[in-house]
Amino acid sequence: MILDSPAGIEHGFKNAIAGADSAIVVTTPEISAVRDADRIIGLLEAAELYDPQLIINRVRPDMVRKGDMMDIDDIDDILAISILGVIPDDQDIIVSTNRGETVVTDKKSRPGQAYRNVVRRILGEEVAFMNLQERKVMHWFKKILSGEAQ
Amino acid sequence: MFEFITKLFGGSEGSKNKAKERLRLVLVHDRASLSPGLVEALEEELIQVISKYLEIDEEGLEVSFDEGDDSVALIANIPVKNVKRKI
Repeated sequence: MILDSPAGIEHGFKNAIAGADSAIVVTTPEISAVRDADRIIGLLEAAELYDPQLIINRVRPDMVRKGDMMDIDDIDDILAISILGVIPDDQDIIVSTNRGETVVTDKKSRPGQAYRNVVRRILGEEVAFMNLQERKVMHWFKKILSGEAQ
Repeated sequence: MFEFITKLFGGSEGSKNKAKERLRLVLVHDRASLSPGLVEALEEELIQVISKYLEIDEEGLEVSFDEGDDSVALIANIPVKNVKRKI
């Protein structure tokens, strides 16, 4: 069972981890978010929940390419915990939430793919990290060329 | 304007290194001040080690972190009652 903890380090967080066997920390590549993630990791350790895994949400490949956003290696370097997944920021998310659909079921969506990869890793499969540097059009072309129907 | 041009020709490194640098500094402060358990454990072991050599006032012992602009120092104030002659 996966329990979503409220943001922050108040009571909600403590209630959420009370019965937890392990933890996944979700952050975004911004200073304040990574700082909070570090505090959460410290609190998890204090609660004897060791080796949490990290998901980096809302990564903007264009900004990473320009060196204006921390990437997976930078955050790994700073927090030193194992990374479970990297989710690209995408307007698909807003469109699908507007429609009330889950992006995970959208086979063409890149964040959808990233989420599915996270699930496979949780289930113990080894899945390579998505190449976020690749441009969207290239990704689309590759998919057509490789005849990837899923 | 100059910044824009250097960026255009790839001369600038981008802001992420600045972000990493700032994060590192901020995390040193956070990690030092966050865990009271750590300070307690440290105090306890300090008492054990120092008590081998000196008779100290355990009640008066103070351990804290002093946070400067770009560094963190451990400050321990340990009142000594007596020096042991033999170990």
